[in-house]
Amino acid sequence: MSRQEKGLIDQVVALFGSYGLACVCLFLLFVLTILGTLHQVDHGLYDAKQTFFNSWFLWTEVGGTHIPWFPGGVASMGLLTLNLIVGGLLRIRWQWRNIGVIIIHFGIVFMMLAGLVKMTNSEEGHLTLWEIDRPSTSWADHRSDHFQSYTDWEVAIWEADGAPQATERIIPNDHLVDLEEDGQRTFHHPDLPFELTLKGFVPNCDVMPKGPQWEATGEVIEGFGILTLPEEKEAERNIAGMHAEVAVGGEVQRAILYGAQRLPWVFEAGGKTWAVDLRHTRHPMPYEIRLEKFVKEDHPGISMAKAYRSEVSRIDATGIERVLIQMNEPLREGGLVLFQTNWGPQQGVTKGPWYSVFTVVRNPSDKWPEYAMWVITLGLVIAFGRTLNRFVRKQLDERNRLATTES
Amino acid sequence: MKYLAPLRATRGARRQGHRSWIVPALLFATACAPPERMEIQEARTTRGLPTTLQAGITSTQRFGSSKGQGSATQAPMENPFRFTLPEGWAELEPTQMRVINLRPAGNPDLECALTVLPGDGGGLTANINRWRDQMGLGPIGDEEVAGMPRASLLGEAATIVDLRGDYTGMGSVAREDWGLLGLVLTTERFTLFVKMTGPGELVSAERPGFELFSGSLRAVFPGDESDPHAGHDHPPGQHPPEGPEDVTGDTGMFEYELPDGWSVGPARMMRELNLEVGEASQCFVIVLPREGGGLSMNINRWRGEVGLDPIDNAEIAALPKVELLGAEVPLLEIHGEYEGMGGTGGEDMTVFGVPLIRQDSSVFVKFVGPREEAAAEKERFLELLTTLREAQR
Repeated sequence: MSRQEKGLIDQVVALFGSYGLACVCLFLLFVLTILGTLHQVDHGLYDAKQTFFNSWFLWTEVGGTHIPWFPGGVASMGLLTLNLIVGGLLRIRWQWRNIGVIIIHFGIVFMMLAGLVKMTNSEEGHLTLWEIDRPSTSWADHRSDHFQSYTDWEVAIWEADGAPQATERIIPNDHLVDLEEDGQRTFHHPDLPFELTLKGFVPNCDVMPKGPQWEATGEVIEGFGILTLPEEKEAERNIAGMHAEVAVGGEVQRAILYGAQRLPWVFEAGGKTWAVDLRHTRHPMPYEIRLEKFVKEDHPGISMAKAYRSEVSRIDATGIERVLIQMNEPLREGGLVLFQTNWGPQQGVTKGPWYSVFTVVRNPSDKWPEYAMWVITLGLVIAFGRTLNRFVRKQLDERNRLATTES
Repeated sequence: MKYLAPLRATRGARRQGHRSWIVPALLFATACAPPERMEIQEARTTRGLPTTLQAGITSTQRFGSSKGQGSATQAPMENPFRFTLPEGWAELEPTQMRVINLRPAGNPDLECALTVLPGDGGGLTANINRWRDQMGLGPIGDEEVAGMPRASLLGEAATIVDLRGDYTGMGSVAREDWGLLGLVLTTERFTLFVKMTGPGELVSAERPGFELFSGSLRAVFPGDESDPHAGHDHPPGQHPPEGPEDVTGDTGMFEYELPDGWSVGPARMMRELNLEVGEASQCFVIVLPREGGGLSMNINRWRGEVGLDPIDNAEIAALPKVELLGAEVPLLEIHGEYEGMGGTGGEDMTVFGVPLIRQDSSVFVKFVGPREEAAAEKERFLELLTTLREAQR
């Protein structure tokens, strides 16, 4: 390596490990926090998170061209992490006197890594269960072995042969949401005697009988059309819709799929009956949860809840375990965390039956921030301890020196 | 691809960015985009699937919300109306409000529907002025309405409404030079609307078809194939009372024990159960989807019907409780000059109201009658609440 090349590398390392870059990154995050908070007022939390923090860049339109105008949360935090690694771990002298600072930098990098893993690998949704064995509905049941996403959608295809259990073929959210406007995609599988074409994904819509007072998005089928609605401020309130068609023996059958449809689309192909459903993405759980009892304690004289908790059974191959889930005491099991977050009906009913809502999070880095915090604490204790030790020893030396001088 | 999804910018920016951002980004995005034809990769075993699905479920069953139409396991509610479909017209699936839903001349710009509302629906003049307002026209008075032409509808004299203007209807898109041709038949018990809208010239062209359709309408009930609806004092679409009532009743949705001295009244739109009590009282059960507007709104709506001010949640929570369908719910007992929907009412009336608000459907039991009669019947009203239960099907 020539001296010139070595000099260039040193300059790059110096740049990425500089205090100046750290200050710039922190300032960018400060600005993003301000912008995201303001954006949330009109567009809701989900959109603010996606736009400002789960993005590489913020985009704007100039003369019909979309250009990035500001680094997003991913870029800013990625750069800050690089800065921490280069400045705090590579450039720093690995000596005992710096051990505290090095540990602190390790801890912060570990915390940033936890955030990255959560952003890219976590799943979040809800599990809503009734406390008594009601007839199954589309969104709530007495027991469940899966939880549902708040915002993502999937299309499920299964043979409707009257059995309560079947193998479903799943088309995931990522293969649906990019089919807006004229987009379409055809799906096939060796076990399916048809090809399913999906098109015209609408993030938020209503499906209703077509009248002359509104324009339907896409084809009107059996008198029903898709009325496109503006996306909701709270993204979980959006109800998606799209068009679907299957080709069976040269005949094309068409239907509208709607996230709030009461029944799936059912048709016959290959001598069998098939069902297609658009619904919120379901995430399987390694066990089943059954709500045994929901308890709500009200403030005196009013129906406002003071505390509420759910007694559930966790059922898997090993047996049944009774668990109490309440505020700040979630169930952590099998890589999932189940938080007690809501209940209902919240009006008019004081004795139940109740349904209980749990927020379910699958986050491989769930405990990492805690571990990072302990690492950082250790680093701080060492760094401040060394400084305190130096200070005390210096004071003692000074006192001894003065004592010697006076004597 | 899943792990990349959260890294994207907003949907609009993503879409536009792929089109017009720098060339490498375009190439990268194109390379990463899922293909237009692909094999399904993901499979999952699912339990608790519906077991009664059959091919041929209609869109109304899948998307509609009217009772009896939403379940693949239930037969659709039988339409009691018979009519002649004009040549070239198409019949669409009925909706929650439209008992009959037609597409004149098969033209999607034209629509014609029969709608039935309970009571007088607000009155003839008010309804005609509602339609006039939809067409951008000013209101008219009772005298002008009285002078409007009439046509036969189900054997009664219905008012013909023929308007041209800029139609806004229930939607937000104004349609210029639109036509509205309608019939309104009001009675104390129910109101029928036959309404055709569309481009003015098309409405005029399809007037013969409209007259053929409305003139051919008749209501037929099981076992009564030859008897038209004319003269019946119950709304079309519902069964007339079937003679002396049993002590136990079954509405299909509810089972109950009929209190002594009470009788089953004529079926009414929206009322799952309609009972007649004493000389001038009535008691009925209404089921609304989801939370039906909620507890506070319904309590205060009932209070407003007797001229009382709204109360807050703390006062609602302090109301006495009764049990209904296994739940403890508030019992509202109020008195005053009653003015209910459809103009029914009277002075010194009592209302008992019991709302059961649930996430999927809400049940409202209401008693209305003169104060003295209500006081005498209160025990039986409470007895009805204890016996009311959801039918096991």
